[in-house]
Amino acid sequence: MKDPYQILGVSRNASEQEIKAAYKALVKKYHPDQYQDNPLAEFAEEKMAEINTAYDAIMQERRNGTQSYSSYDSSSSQSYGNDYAYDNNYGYSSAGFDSVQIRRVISSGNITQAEQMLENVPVSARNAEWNFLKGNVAFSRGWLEEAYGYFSEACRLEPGNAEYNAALNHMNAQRGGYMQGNAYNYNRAPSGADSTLNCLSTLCIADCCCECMGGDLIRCI
Amino acid sequence: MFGYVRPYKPFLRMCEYEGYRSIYCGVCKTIAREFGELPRFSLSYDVVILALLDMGIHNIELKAEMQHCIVHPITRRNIAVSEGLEYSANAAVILLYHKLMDDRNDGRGIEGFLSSAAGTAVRGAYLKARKRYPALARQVEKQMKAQTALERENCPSTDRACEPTARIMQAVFSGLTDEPEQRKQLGRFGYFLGRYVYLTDALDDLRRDSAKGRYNPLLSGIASGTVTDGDFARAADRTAFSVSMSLGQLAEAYCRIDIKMYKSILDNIVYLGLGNVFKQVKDETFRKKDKERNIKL
Repeated sequence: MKDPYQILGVSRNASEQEIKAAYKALVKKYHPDQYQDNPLAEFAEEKMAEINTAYDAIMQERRNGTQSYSSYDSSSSQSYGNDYAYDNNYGYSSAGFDSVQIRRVISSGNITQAEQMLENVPVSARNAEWNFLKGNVAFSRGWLEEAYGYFSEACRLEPGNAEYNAALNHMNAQRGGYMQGNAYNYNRAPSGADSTLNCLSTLCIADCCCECMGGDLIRCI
Repeated sequence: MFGYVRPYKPFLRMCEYEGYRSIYCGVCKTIAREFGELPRFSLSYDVVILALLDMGIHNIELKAEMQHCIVHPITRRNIAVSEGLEYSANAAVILLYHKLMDDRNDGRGIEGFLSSAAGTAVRGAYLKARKRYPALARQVEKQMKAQTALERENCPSTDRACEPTARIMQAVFSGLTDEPEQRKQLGRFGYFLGRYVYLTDALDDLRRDSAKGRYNPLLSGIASGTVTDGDFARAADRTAFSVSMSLGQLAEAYCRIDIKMYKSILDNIVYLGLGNVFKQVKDETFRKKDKERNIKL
């Protein structure tokens, strides 16, 4: 399990009030209602579950007075010192612009206003978060090429960010021909543009056939 | 619409194929009945998906009769006579008129004259349809102006170039229902279908547009004059990504539309037909006559 303190973005010696505030802010940010028709819906759902588990764990721990950090996966929290402020990770205020505010405007559907706010951010402060939000604005418009460009840039600037990666992966899957609800056999009928998925499914099917006959084409499938 | 929205025939059942054709004929006859003979002659198969969705979400059962029609004077054809064709017929007339006006604006010589003459002839029909669906007609008029402006400034962004067509199709499809949530999903479906249609058309016309010096967003980065095979392949690859992303988004909206009937034909169009047409355009086989003869089983 990941360090619950890291998940909530608070230091270990944070007060209960600070923890609650951080928890509330994160719930607001990842609430499923804000992610309807959004490429990040699934990610937000996972994130919500993670946040809830982390919060429960910390509260439980504090009530019991036990702190068993050793059980947490510390490799993923190495960048996390004892008393790092939490705003680095989630773009709260540290970015030189109010990303929380802009996120709220985007999820309220006021794309023009969000765009305006993003345009007002000085060029020097346009970091990964800024690119990600620009990508979201373009995406809401249906301007997919532009969105793809901004999401790629966000991921390039901050490679480890799960949220940015989720958005880019989602678009990459569709770029490769993924269509939700497609029940047709990829390799039989001609499909859109790319052949990566076709090859994959051909392989899987070939593997299944071989398995039926007692052999195995690919061991791991 | 331009004929890019069609099913992948080898995967249609015979009854689905018959139904599909009868709906096309039904829309065509409806246009003849309401607007006269003239506008029906350039009706493309694209309109069928609209009628299918109309019937599919409103639970309208298809009824077809063997009838004569003046387009096929010798044999009788199976023609849909049920409800759910009227909106599609009106939308087709509105789109046809604007397509003719658009052709007139960028065509010169005989092409320009013909589309201008046809436009004048269809104008009466257009005004009638416009009276019936004023909001749709207004939106189409507005987006056609935006289209002209984009062409004038030679807009290099494909996202922006797609916007007017996408918005028109958004208006067309969201007009199928009054229920807000479904309207939204149908609108999204229409938006990305419009994007698909525009991109496919742009690639299909790439060589012709370049030769005639017309605007085409995919020509940006290609030296004016002739499009080499390499140029075409590069533009096609780039467009393929954009089309795939549009179809991915289209599928997400499609899954949220509450379709009660004809799902199998619609699935065929959405998941197989669109991709297949784009592939043909990309391979430059779309305009060839025997493109669907080479069937793998």
